[in-house]
Formats: sequence, C-alpha cells, structure tokens
Amino acid sequence: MTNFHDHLQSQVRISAYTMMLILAGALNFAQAENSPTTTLNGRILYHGLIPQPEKQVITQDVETCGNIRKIFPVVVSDDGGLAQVVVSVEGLSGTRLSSIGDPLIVQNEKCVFQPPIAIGSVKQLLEVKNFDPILHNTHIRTETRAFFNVVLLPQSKGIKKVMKQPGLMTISCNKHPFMMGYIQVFDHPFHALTDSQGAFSIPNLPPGTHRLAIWHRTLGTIHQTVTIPQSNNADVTIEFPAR
Amino acid sequence: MPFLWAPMWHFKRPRRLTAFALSVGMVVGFTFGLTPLCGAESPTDVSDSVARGKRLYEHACLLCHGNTGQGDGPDAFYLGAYSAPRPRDFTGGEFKFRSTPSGELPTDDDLYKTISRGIPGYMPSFRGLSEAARWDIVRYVKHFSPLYQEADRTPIALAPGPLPATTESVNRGREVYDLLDCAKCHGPQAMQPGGLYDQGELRDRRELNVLPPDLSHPSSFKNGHQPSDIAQSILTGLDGSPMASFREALTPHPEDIWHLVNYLLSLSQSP
Amino acid sequence: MLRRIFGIFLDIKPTFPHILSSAFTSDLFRPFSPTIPVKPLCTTIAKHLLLLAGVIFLSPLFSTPEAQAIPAFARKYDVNCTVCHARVPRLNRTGERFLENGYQLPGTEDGDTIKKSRLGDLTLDDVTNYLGFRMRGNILQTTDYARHASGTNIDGNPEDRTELGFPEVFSLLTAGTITNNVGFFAEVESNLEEGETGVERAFVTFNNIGQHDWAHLRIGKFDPSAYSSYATLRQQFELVGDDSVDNGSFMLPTINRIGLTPAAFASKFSGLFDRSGTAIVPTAPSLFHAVAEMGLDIHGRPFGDWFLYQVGILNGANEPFGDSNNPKDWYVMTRFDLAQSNYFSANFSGFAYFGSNNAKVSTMADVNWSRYGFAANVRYDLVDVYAAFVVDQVTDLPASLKNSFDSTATGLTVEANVLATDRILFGIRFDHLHAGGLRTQRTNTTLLALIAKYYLRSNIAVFLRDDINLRQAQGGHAPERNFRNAFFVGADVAF
Repeated sequence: MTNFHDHLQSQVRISAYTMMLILAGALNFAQAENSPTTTLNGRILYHGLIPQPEKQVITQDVETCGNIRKIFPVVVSDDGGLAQVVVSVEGLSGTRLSSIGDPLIVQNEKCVFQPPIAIGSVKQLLEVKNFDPILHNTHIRTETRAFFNVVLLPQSKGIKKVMKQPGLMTISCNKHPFMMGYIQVFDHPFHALTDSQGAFSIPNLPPGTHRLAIWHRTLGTIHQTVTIPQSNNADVTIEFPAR
Repeated sequence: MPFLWAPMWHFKRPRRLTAFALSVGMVVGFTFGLTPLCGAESPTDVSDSVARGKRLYEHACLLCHGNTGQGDGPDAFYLGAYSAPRPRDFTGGEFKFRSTPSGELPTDDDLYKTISRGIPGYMPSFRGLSEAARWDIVRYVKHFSPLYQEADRTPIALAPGPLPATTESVNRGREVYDLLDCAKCHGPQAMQPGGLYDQGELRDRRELNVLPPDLSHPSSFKNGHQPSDIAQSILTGLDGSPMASFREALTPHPEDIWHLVNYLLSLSQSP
Repeated sequence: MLRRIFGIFLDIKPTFPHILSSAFTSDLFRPFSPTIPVKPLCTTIAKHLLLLAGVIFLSPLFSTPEAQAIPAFARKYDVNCTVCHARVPRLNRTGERFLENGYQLPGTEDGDTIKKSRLGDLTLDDVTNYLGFRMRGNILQTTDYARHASGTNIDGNPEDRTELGFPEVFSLLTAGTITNNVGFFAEVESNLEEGETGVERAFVTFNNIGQHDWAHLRIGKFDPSAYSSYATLRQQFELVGDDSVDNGSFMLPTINRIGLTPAAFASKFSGLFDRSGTAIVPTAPSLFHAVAEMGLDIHGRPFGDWFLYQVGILNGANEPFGDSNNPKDWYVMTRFDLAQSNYFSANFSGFAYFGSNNAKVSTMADVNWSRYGFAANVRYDLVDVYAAFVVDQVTDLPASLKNSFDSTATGLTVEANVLATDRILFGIRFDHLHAGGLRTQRTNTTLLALIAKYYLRSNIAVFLRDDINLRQAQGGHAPERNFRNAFFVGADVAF
C-alpha cells in the first residue's frame, strides 16, 4: 500500500465520517426534540417446580473453593420473583449507545465468578480480576470463538478487554471445571438484569410496541410484547412458564 | 459471491456507507490516475490472488477444511474422529497458532507460517507450493471470516531472549512450571497428561477430548520447537483448546518465559 | 510408557491363543486332527461372536493415549496415518489424491521439496523416508469346510482346521518421489502361505504432464483399479487365497476351500486357463481388478476435481513376464466425485475392460474375456459404504463349448465400515457371485464377512474376522457349498 493509497483511503474515511457525524447529529437532535422516552419497570415471576441444587464435590484447592459446590438452577424470592434473568428489547440493535459506561467487572472470588450472570454492551470494557490466593484461568467464549483464555495470578488485577460482538458469552475456568458464568452482550442500551426480587427496569425506551427477550440460564428464553406509552412509565409483570 | 470481493479492498470501510465511500474512491481514483502508476498492489491484483488462492485451496486444503472453510471437509472426521484436533474452522476466526494475544486473529505471517511448516502429526507442510501460492492461500483463508476486516492484529512483544540454557535457568524454569500449575494439564513431569485430562475436563469447542502432549518430544510443540515458537505458544495460548495465555501471569517476571522454555527443551535433551 | 505399550503388543502372540484356549481348548491342542466332527454352524458362529465380544471388551487393556504412526510417508511428511488413511489400509480422499498425484500432496508438485537433500542434479531422500514394511497375517485361523478326496471332486472328510501362522505376508515396500513429478513404487512380498517371494508390484509414475492434474502416467506392474471407487487393494478385508490342488495343464483344479475375495473382482468363470494351461480359479481377482499386471496407464482430472479419467493398456490378464498376448488388453475408467464439506463425500465410477486373447478354454482355444462395471462409495461421518457391480463376458468361444459354457457372469460386492471409536472399526461385506463358465461346474456363491479391528496405534491393528457361507445349507459337492465358515484372528503392522 503506497502513501498515495493511504492518503486516498484516509480521505475517503474522513469524508465518510464527516457525513456520518452530520447525519447522526441531525438524527439525535430530532430525536431529543420529538421523541419522549419512558422507563419500563417490571418483574419476572416463576411459580413452577424448583429443581434441587446440583452438588459438586470439589477435590482441588479446597482451602479456597470449599469442599462442595451447590449450584442452584433456579433462584426465586418468597413471592416468586425470579432472579438473574436478562431482559432485553429486540429490534433496537444498532441504537447508538449514549455512553459506554463503566467497565464490567467480573471477579474470581472463592472460585465463583462474581457476578455469575452479567450484562454488558458492545464497546464496553470487560475487566476480569482474581481475588483468590490461587491461580485461575478465565476462559471466555462467544458462540463461535474464544474471547480470551488467560491465566490470572493470585490476587491480581487481571485483564481488560473491550467487548466487540453482541451475543452470549460463557465464562469458565479449565482449572476449576465447576466454575461457570455468563455475560450477555448487547449492541444497544435497552437491557437489564433482574434483582433478587425479580425486578428490573429499562430506562430511555422510545414509545411504541416492543418485543422483549427474557433469558434465564436454565429455564431458557421466552418472548413478550409490551407497549410503551407516550408519557407515563410502563409496568409489566411477566410469568415464566412453569416447568 | 460477496465474500470473495470483500478482501480486495485493503482499506477498512464504514459498513453503512460502503456505496458512498466507493463512489468517492472511484472519483478520486480516476482523478489521480489510478494506483498502478504508484507501483502498488492494486485491488485487482488482490482479487486475482484470492481467485488463485481459491483454486489452490480447493486442491490442497478442501479435503480437510471443507469448501465452506468450517473444518468439516470429507476427510475431517477421520482425522479427529472422536478426539481433537479436527481441522481448523476458518469461519469462526479462532486459531491456535498466533503471535497475537488470546482471542485475537492471527497475523498473515502466522497463517503463512502454519501453511509452510504444517502441524506435526496432523497437517503436512505445503512448502511444495511456491511462496506466492502460499500467500494466495493466506488471502483466501482470510476471506472466510469477516472479522479480518476490522481486527487489530498486532503481535505480542517477547521479553529479550532466549536466555542461555544454564542449570540455574532450567531449575528456575522447573519452578515456574510448578508455580503456573502446568502439571494440572501436562502432568508433574510434563510427559503424561495431568489430572484434568483424566477427569475428562479438557475439551475443545466440539466437545472432543484434547490430549495434552508429552512435552519431552519436540514434535509435540505443534507451533514449532524453536525457543521463540514455544515462548509464543505459552504467552498467547492456543485458542480453541484449553491451553490458556500465560502472558498476564508472566508480566511480573517476563524473563521467566525463557527459563520455562529452557526447562521444557531440557526434557527432550535428557537421556 | 511407549516401550511398555509396545511390549504389550509384542506379548499379543502368546496372549491371544491363551485367551482363546479357554473357548477352543479341544481344537487348539489338536489343530490338525482331521477327525473332529463338524459342529453345527450356529454354535460355531455364536462361539466366534462371543470371542469377538470378549476381545473387544479386553481391547482397552492395550490402549495408548495417542496414535502416532510412523510408516514411510507419515515419516516423510511428519503426520499421522489418518491424514491419508480412513483407517489403515483404506485410503481417505486425501490419500486417494496423494496416490493420484504420484506421491505428492494434493494440489502440489512437491516431489523435489519435502525432506530432500541435493547432490549435483540429484535430489536424495533419507532412506527412512521411502522405506516401509508391512507384516500381516492370521495369528489364528479356523476354517470349516469339506476337503475333497485327493484329485477328485467328490467330498472328502469335513474339516474344522485351526492353524497358527503369523505372519503370512511380509512385504518390504519403497515408494516416493525421485524428483518433481516423478514417483516410484516397488513392493517385494514374501508370502509364507504361498511360499513365494517376489516383486509384487513395481512401477514409476510421471505426473502432471502438460498442466497440473491433466495427465499422470504409470508404467510397470501395477493394480489397474487403484483410482476407482472400489479399488482391489487397501481394503479392510484382506484377500484370502483359495486352497486348491492343481491337476495339470488344462485340467480343472481340485478346490478344497474357495478364496475369500470380493465377488465383483473375482474371475467368476470355471474352466478358464492362462496361457500356460494353469486353471484360473473363479475367486481369484483378475482383469481390471488384478492385484498387479504389466502395462501402462494414464489418468487425470483435467476439468476439475469432480471428474477423473483413466485409460490403460496391459499385456493381458494373468500373463507372466513377456507378452504372448497379441493384441493387448485395454481399459477405460471414469469417476465422478463429490467432495465438499459436512464430513461427506461420494463418488461413482464406471469402467470397461476389453480383453483380447487373454484366456484359454479347455480346448486350448483363445477367448476374449472382458469386464464392465461400476462402483460407488459414500462416506458420511463415521460410515463408509462402498459397492461394486461387475459383469464379465467371454466371447469368441469355440463352437464345441457354445452350449456347455455360460459366457456371462456377474459379481456384486457391498461393504460398509463403521468407526465406533478412534480405535475400533467394524466392517461387513456381502458378496454375491453369479458364476459363469462350464455349466456343470459353475456355482453361485453368496458370502457374508464380518470384521472387527482394533487399532493399538494408527499403524498397528489386530482384528477378528468371520466369513460365513450363506448358501451352505443348499448342499452339494461344489467347494462353493461345502465351505461353511472361516474365522481369523490377525494382526496388521505397517512400519
């Protein structure tokens, strides 16, 4: 590639970016003026059968990891609120992210990924840390390829990397096969994780009818259509079908 | 065939404005009298190269890697019927042999190196093809994944080395081997699979068993057994296999990588 | 570790009979006794199947963590056998193309490149990179058939023979490239069963004449069917020769036990003789499917990988060195390939072999013996299925034989291999021979063969094989009827 070509290339790029900026600015302006946004508040409930926790016997690094690991397939509150559900709005992908936000931090803590279920955005920084006094390796995979697979020293700051592709990523540790975590990455800001009561809230939604995707690690994915009014906030309660 | 055309543009382009960029490019290009005058590799040259690469690929590579590049060619099953490795899936963009950090795409040089050298046990060397032909194949292999268009493929830096293989260095290497828990996969003496293999935990993305090789055989170092090759594999990891990148773990003492390499190489030299 | 594993292999010879002795006690210690009564077929098979299960069950004892093979080409290219073989000896597509390309990697002309050193205008190989040997045979063989009374076609005593005899065949082979696009192959075989040692096959190849893959020339003593969908050689079921007694020139032989060869490839006719008057046994592979004949042929894929042509000319069937057969035999074969992705490939080939004066009948008259047929092969995932249907025709029969000689014969062979694990392969073969030749002699044959192979490494296999005569209940004096069953425990080592 010659200088000339580089020059040509950068020229093309500059003009393209200029055009894009102008367009985007115009759109933003229009949106800010004419489209009020509202917040969707909701709860996810589950009243089906709750499976027994899986028990895994741990044979290595027991001082840090403990002897036994209980994995709860479904976690619900007293009144049926389903925790650790990822709620996202479909069909809004590509919406410009207003701000990338703080880094998403996943910690290796007592041989558990904290948080075990995380949500993130494209271009957001992912930071993986190791609080344990032992070596961990954090192997994060998208559906098709490794995002990274790195060994982290005991009590180390760890590694940072920008998330580039939307989709579900799995986190595992080849050294401790009982460790498991998930990150759902979106290319739009309209997503939330339910708290221990099953509650969530998605702010800044444009009015209209939207389709929600509701994902749970073991219960799977369901869809629900919601209508966001022009002014008031919307409330929705969604029942996960019983197993 | 949209994929075929993609790599002919050497420059990155904003996707949504392709048409706009193209037309501007054409106008400017014609105004200044086109690139061949500047002696550059024109897009036509590149597309010719990809077309040649396709023909070569179909003769030399397809039977294992498949015509879609997914590593599911007619012979792929027999190569790794029930245990890893199966032939590489080029569409996923996940490669074991890279000079780039874990999770990144390989550089063109990395791909060229693998084609030229082969992989002991599994892929023969294609040195029988001319250098130009091998570069043609590199270009064609890259067309299988759109990720190449935007990827930053900067090789990692190695600590100055290799260091002389003194007894102290080998001993320090052995310490590093233990500190980094290498034995979990490679066994206490680096010659027999460790506990994780016995538990059936070492698997690739196809859920095939991955056997950690006996490191006392030079042919076990699939990315070459020169000190720098081994150092690179340890620092970048072998994506797709459970072998992780030890780059962060070795950051406090970067020179340790060469001690570790000296220890591993000492295994194949001892009587 | 490696030495320990190899040691286990070396121990097999004593170990196997030991395992088997519990089931075979009486047979094993009186192996050559002709008076053992014939057991009912079903119990024999049941016993064999039990053994088969037993050995498969025990086979993990011999397991090794990695299959790293080291025969000649594997040595040269630093790869496992499975790069070119589905499982040794059967080739996969890469192996087929490697063979077609004159022992150069598919798509390349690397005959001058890999592991070569230069000396003036010579390029030299390390000896180890073109030398290999193969040792195969039956550690234990139990055959169950009625032996004919000496020199007659009348049933003699039924026999249930158990023999030890490893190795039966030892071959030293050398193959590789002399320089770019010039390859060679030579195999010296010592067959202990037949008591013969000699050059089995030897030829040179000139490859990529004109353009890449346009034409490859092969000159020497070779197997004509090598490039077809179902080649005679490199199959999971070894060819098992017949057991017969020659009764003199232009006399029919006394066949005690028929040969166990694919019906499609067999000679199919009773009453054909070669130039010297030696009878051609109906089960012996011949013509296009000969193991080795002298001649030259050309093949190539000028229009792309989907189509292969082959044209060849041979001295003639069953000719010794030096040709007495004028004009020559010639053949043409085309093959269509589909090999893209999804662990799937298929191919179909059709051929015609035109013989001229290539056999004689009992009147010593020359006849023309020709062959036409097609073969197909489909592979998907762990399954490999292949089949051949072949029609043989004898023309120019003397008038005196017109009514007593059936001039058409057909053979059908269908085989399937399944890879149950990386190390265990099961195979099944069905053969149906619609025999031709002298109407008083010809007998149709239907056989079923089963094989279970266990690969200690990709170049070392032990196997159990059972060949069953599906028509033995029909009775009669023909050797095709009084063969009942043959059971083999064997080993196949390539190094």
